[in-house]
Amino acid sequence: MPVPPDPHAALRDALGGVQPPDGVAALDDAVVADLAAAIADARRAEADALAASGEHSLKLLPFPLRIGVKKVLGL
Amino acid sequence: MSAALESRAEVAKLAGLLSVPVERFDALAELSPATLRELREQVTDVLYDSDVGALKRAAAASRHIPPAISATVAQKAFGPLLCARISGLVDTRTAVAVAGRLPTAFLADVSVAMDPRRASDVIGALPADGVIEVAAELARRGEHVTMGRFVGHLDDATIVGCFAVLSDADMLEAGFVMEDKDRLDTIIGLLPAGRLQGIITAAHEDGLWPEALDLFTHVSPARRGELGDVALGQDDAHVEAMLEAVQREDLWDTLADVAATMGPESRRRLRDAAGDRVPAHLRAALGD
Repeated sequence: MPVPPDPHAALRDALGGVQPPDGVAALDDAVVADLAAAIADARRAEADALAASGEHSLKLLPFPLRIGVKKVLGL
Repeated sequence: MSAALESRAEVAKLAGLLSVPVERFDALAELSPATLRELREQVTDVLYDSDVGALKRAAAASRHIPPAISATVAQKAFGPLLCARISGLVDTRTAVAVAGRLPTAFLADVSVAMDPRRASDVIGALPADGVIEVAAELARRGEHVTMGRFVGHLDDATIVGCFAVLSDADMLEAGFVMEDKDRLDTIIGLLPAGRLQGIITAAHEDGLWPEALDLFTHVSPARRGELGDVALGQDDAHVEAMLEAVQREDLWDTLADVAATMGPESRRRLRDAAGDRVPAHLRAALGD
């Protein structure tokens, strides 16, 4: 896996802009880059799962319920 | 626990949270336990808070849907990952009603992805029988990190029920990664007669001496002495395997703490078996 130019910035981004604990600065760049990639992958997988679930959920509901639930979901 | 062992347990929890093999994060074990714990909490927060708006709306919608239909939606549309994220946002009564209609294997999948701290009320309200079935399924899968994260949210009666479906090795491995180990002494006190012996045997047969020694350090001095006496009451091969693990993991300080609470016969046996391997500064603690 190619190491990004600033793996510590990549890790901060993966953590949603939060500064990682101080001790992480002592790790090799490749280790930090891999950690950032693992977090980013997990976030992406969750966002994809959430996006895919919405429409599918509605299709599983009986029609009368669907309208009310759509309102609650803001759709 | 030694810092190295504690870091190793934390790395296992972080890997579990991100669904990656623990070996991928081997290099992180050089970080302190406190650093790893803070990092894991940051990762948990970012995973749980990323889409919290959409998840809250989905949780709100669940109040308008009969539990049987919610259970179908949970399995066929949401899947275990999103159910885990929503679990702490749904009201407790709804969550329990839906969980009661989900198969054990699915609930085990949800448990792996859950942060139990965010759904402690739901976990505490689940019927013990269902929790025990999930514990058995998690043990079958080797999901000890997940089990260790949940223990602190279960009452004593449910924990005792889980003992019956967990092997001695399962208990050692889950205890090693358990959150809030202050409760370990109480939990060990709930074990039925004979299980302490089984745990020591598992430490030997499954190569879990570091996990066993970690357990020793998180119990009261009286219990530590009891465990130490059981360990030193084993045959020579068991005692030697324990000493090799102590040497390999540099756990002499831990062993000295255990030795200080053991009976004189056990201390004598330990001193004789360890011989010159004991670091000079610990010989007094072993009775030299």
